Amino acid sequence: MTAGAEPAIPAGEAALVAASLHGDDGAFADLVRLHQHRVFKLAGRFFRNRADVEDAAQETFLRAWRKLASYRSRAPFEHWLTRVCLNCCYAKLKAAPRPMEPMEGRAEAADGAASPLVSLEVEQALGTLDARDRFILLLLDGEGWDVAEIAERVGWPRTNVQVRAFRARRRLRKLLERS
Amino acid sequence: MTTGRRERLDERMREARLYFQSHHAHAVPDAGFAARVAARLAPDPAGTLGWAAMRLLPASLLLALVLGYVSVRKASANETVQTPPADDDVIAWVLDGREAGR
Repeated sequence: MTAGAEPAIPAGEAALVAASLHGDDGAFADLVRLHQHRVFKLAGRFFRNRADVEDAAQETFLRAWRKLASYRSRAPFEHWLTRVCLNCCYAKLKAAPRPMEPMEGRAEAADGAASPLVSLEVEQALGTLDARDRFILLLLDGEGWDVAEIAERVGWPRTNVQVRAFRARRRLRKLLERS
Repeated sequence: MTTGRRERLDERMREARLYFQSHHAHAVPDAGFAARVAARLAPDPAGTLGWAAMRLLPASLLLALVLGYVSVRKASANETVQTPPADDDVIAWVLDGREAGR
């Protein structure tokens, strides 16, 4: 079988989407169960606080429920949901432009790799970054996506992402020069 | 920019990248998460009433038209019963009686 012949969305998931479109909230709850870990993982990139992550995840699924009619089954459902989630996180970051929470338990960060190496000085400087810059830098450096991937997943034009990324890097550099 | 300053800035940029890489809540959904989302999906009562009213609107209009038509028909039928028959013979009989009395 060629890759092009494969359905973009598994049959079971397609049935859940179809039932949800007809107002079946039980089917939608099953969709939530299927994708909740992925959404939490993505939202967790932007917020350190569990309550904020849950809030962003709930908002993602509620928005998905409301806009489900705009989903085209040609693309995988998770791609569409990723876009919804990223836009929810971006909106939430912009709505609450508070500095990033300081790293909790720096010594025992979950991945254990980076946090002990980050100086408090740098951490505090990064805390003052603008929400838009934080968003793009977390996708670039945190998720490790390039400009094309960010453009595709967030749904912004590529040049827009390029400009935002350039400005964010420049502002970060200035911030670190000053600190 | 002096070499020492550049090195320090490069080190800070590296630290910033590490910071973004490690910036993660590592939160996982609990067992009740999907249920909490589903509970928020329930439409508000006003919305439900509005939706029901809109769905029933054609039937309501049809019913109103039928009832209106029936009531108009009934009213006109009553009117027909109450109106005295325009019977020229009765008038002629009264007039004849008057004349006969004279």
